[in-house]
Amino acid sequence: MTNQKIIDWKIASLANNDQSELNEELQSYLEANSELKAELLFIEHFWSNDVKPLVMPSDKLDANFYQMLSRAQSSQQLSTEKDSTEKHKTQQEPIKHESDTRYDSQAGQLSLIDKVITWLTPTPIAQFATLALVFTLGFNLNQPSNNEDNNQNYSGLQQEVSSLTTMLAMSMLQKESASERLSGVAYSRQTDLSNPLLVEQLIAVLTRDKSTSVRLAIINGLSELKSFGSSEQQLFTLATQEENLLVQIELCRLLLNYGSKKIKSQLTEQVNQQLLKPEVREFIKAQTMPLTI
Amino acid sequence: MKKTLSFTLPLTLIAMLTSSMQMASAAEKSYSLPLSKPGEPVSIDIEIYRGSVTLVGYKGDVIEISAKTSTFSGKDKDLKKVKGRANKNNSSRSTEGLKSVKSQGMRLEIEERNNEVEISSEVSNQHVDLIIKIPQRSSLEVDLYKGGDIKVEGISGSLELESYEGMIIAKDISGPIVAETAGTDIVVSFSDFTKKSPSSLTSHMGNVDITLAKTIAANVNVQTYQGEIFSGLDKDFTVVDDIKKNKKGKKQAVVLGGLMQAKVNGGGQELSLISYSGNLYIRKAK
Repeated sequence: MTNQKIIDWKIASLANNDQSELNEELQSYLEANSELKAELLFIEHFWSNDVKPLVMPSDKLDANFYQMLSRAQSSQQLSTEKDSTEKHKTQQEPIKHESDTRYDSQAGQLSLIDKVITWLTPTPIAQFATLALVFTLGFNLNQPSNNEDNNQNYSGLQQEVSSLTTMLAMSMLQKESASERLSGVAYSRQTDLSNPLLVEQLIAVLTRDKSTSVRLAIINGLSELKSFGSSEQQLFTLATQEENLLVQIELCRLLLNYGSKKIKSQLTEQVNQQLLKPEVREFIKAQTMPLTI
Repeated sequence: MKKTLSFTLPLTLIAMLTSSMQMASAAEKSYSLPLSKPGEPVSIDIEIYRGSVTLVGYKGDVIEISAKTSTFSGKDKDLKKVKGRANKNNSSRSTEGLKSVKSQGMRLEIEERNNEVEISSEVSNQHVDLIIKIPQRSSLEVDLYKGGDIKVEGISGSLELESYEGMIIAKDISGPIVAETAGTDIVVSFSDFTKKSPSSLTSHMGNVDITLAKTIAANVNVQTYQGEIFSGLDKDFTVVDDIKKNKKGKKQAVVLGGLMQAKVNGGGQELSLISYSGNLYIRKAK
């Protein structure tokens, strides 16, 4: 209760309702109670702020404030009206809208990006033109006449490449180095061996080359021939008269696998004769033996 | 020799080495042959009837030849034929009062023209052991009919080697190489492998043994009729199926077997190993 009495006194004192001072008893109590003293100080501070008199605006300031408020209100109203007008225009002229507004807003100056965007913006005319172009291209590319032209060009190109490879092969086959002659054989395999001169040269090299590697490579390459034709009998003679075992075996393998029935028959007959080496005769026997499962 | 060199040009060198040294059983001679076009490609063609040939590559432009000859006194079918004919023709000649003089001369021909070198000894009763230092870039063609081996080391040029009785041993080469023996082995170690041209090693009755450096890329083809194949490669050998198609639909032929192939390090230039009755060994360098 003592605390409340003191607080009431303070409030009355601050409100100028009580000018009396505290009695000694309350004064000594207040001196001894620091918390109460802090509370009283807070009340005094709060009171002094709260009761500070407000500075009221002058008439001139009031007049300016209301002028500003009036201008702001009128500006807002104009803007609303303009927006509604533009919306109306947009509904009537949708294509012109964007460019017009940009011209309006930027005083007729377009940036490079704007130009690019404008160019890229699909319009019905542009869309139509694009579709027409795609259609025309597709139609033209699928024309049979063009296909034939392309095929002819491609075929011609292939023939040229084949001719060049044939020439290269024939040139390499004449080289002194066995390795280069092997290259010649490898090139000849890249052609379809349709050139009779190349086949003739291959068989000539097969007949006389001193390198077994080159001869074996040629025999291997001759398997690409679609038909031995007139060379078949020549190959058969070579096979029967050959002294090199490896070459003889491979020639027999070539003729047995790809030769005509007649040549296969002739070769099989050689098994019973002494012209072929024993190893080759064994080889032919093994090759011609019917498979039993 | 297939190559015919002109003897008329000033740069042509004909060295007929006749040893004046009287040795009981052998004659030795060394000869330095500077190339007429240093730094340019060199081709060396060697044909020796009897003996051995060792070729070692080095960085230089002088061909250093060391030759050792001796009279062949062994048995040889061809030699007997020659002697037999000679004795028959001269059987009536008297040797009374004459003493036999053994031929101890060396006959070795060396020719050079525009970096094309030809070395030959075609005397049937002379055994020649040749040790030749040659530029690394040299291209070689060696034919040895009788006697010892052909040995080649450290040559980066193309090699064409043929030995009828001896082995072919080539070390630290890059090819292309085309080598052939009749009944002896071919042993080759590749330090690199050229993409320029195919290589092929053929031994009719002997073994073919190759060692490939780890980085070499090649299509290794193997074919043996009665021998076996031993491979230390990571890649397996697969049968190359020979499929012949006729576009007109008349004939189609499929031949399975025969050749086998392994694409080493993704494949590359062809390297063929062929033997009728020998084994094929494919090793990978450690």
